[in-house]
Amino acid sequence: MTDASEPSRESPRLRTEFAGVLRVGVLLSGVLLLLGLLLAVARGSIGLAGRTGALPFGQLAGDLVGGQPWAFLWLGVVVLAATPVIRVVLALANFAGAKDRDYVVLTSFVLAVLLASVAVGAVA
Amino acid sequence: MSGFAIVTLGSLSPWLSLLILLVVAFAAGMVGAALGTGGGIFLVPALVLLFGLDIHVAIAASIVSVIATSSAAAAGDVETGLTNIRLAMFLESGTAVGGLLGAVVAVTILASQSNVLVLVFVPVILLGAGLMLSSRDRDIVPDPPPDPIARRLRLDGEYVGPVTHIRRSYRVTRTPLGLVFAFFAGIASGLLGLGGGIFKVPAMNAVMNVPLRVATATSTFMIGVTATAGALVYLFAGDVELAVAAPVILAVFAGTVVGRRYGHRAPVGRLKLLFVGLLVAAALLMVARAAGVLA
Repeated sequence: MTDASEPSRESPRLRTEFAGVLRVGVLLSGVLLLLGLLLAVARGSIGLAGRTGALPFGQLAGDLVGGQPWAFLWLGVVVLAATPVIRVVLALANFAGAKDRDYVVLTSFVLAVLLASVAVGAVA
Repeated sequence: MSGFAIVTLGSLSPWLSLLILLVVAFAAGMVGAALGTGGGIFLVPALVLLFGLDIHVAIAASIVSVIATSSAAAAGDVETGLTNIRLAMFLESGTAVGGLLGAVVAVTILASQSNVLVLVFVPVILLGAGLMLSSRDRDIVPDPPPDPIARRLRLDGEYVGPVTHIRRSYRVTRTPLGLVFAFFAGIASGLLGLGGGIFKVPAMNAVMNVPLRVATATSTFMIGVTATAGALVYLFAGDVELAVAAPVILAVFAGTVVGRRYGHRAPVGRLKLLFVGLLVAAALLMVARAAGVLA
């Protein structure tokens, strides 16, 4: 094969891992959201009013156990947003393992931007 | 009082409103998948115009639903090798920064400027409608201008044609311009809650010499990271209204699955005109709303 064929064929294992992370993330998030929504319909309320973004994570565990709908919905959205982040971490580990410096820099940069989003959102 | 009362349609009950919300989000997902644009460009205007939601809430709900549809849709093409992962990693450095900046502007400078945000949405809707009309598969050239960045990052790739099953290689070019387009697609995503595929696909195809099918698969894959850069800002700023976002995510996702499965049977050529008309109507209504003509 010519070298032109290398890039898209280089890492079938990474591709399988990527696809797995994406599928599991969406599935887990979907289950949590559906559960939260069904609980909300059963109770007639999601248990929290208004915008529920910067929530105390400390409250989360207790309210999950207590079957509070908002806790499942919040966790579902967090799992969803975490899925691409995990995918980037996975890529970073892969490129670091392959000692591919250019791509370690690129993926580190993308990861830093995603973490900056969390920090900026929390401050804003 | 019900926690769903924040989503009410006129004098309808919260539960009926929730049902209509599910139907609208499902339709947006289905249409987006059938046309290959993603649902956001239909969803946000629908949430604002039909439900009278603050556009910030509509955008935040849309952007998290975009993560779900992109992640689910991307997995298959990643596995088969159609997605150019290296190209995605390269362009994501632009879309992620754009997504972060767009979202920051939306939650800070424009936090109480919903009408401005509505007006910013209008030209993007019209641009999207124009791109939808003019979209076509541009032939890639075998020997594009040499590009040192593409060479260094080994961005060239190959793919197997769907009908012919012939292995074709392609050479990526004009990476700096592609990165600029990616940055602006990211801003549109973070600021307006879109996936931005409608801009990324033509940029990769027409500018960077990437075959349309590869560009589409790579764009879908990238959208997960692009939307997440914006979504995390909205999420941690407290702009994601769970009572709206949760049903929207589930319904858009279900709509996307159905649209992808049956979309190829739809008369997309004729449907396109209908949806372009819808987008233009939505743009006019958004202007009327921002001007205060429409309550």
